[in-house]
Amino acid sequence: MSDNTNWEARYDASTPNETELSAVDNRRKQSRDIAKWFFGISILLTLISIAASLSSGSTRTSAVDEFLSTQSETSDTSSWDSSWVPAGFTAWSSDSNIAWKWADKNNCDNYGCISADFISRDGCPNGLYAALNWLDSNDVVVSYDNATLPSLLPLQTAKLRFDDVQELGKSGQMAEINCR
Amino acid sequence: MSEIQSEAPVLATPQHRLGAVAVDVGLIFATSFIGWGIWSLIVWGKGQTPGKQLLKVRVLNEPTGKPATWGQMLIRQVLIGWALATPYTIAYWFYIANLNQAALFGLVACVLLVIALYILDIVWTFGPSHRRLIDYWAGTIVVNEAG
Repeated sequence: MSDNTNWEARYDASTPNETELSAVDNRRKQSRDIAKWFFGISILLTLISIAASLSSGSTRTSAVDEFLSTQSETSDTSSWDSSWVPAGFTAWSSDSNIAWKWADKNNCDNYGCISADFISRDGCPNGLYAALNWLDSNDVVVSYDNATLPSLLPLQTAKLRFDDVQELGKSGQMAEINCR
Repeated sequence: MSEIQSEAPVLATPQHRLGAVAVDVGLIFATSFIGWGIWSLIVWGKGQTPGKQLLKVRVLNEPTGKPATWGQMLIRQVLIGWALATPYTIAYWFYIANLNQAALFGLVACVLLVIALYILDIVWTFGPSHRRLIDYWAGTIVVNEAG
């Protein structure tokens, strides 16, 4: 405590005059102004960044939609017969002989997984190959998994499971289906 | 009362203060933060950090002239830093979540702003009262006890 008293006494001896007090007050005011400006600009920058980011996110979604619509337009599906496709299934974009749908239920083991049902009009006597991309929350492909069947009879349904062994994905995107 | 001295306290020079900061940084690395942290918690009550204690520098409460209290040191050493880092932290996590150019711009802008503030803070130390911006915000001055 004597240490404190010591400092207090020394501090009293150094009481600044009015000019010094005025300079100190100015500095104090300037420091407060700097704090206000810093936080003001920081908050403004953060808000601008968030707004611009959300805006560019919408643009990205629009670009993806545009790309997908272009893809569907350029694919020649006019001659396709999709009347055979069972309810709930969708004909695969590059092979009208195959249709697929997400399975109603996923039975995963140790990792996250997605299952899908596949069906083929003419069957796949030499086997069926399917690959699925795992996407993160930003729709970035972070991993993939594939599955094969040795054969598939005409109009026979098969269920294939795609695992996310690295546990990186949030959702799945069917990337490829081939009748071999 | 015989130990009371009549001379005014000597403000720590920018070089002296920078030296104390350098010692603190060295101790943080040398003790993996833990030792420095425990030491700090002890000496904060005397208005010092480990680096300041070794270099005989002390933080005083400006209005009273008494050594800064533990709470005042907490505000000065930690809470002000956290407050300054908040916009940067938000911008950082927003960038991590979105990974796009706009978020990167926000992050870089916030980093540049913080760097500018720290440069200004250092420049202020060379002012007449040798006080940093955080000294004004926390209501403290830093004095040299080395004599």
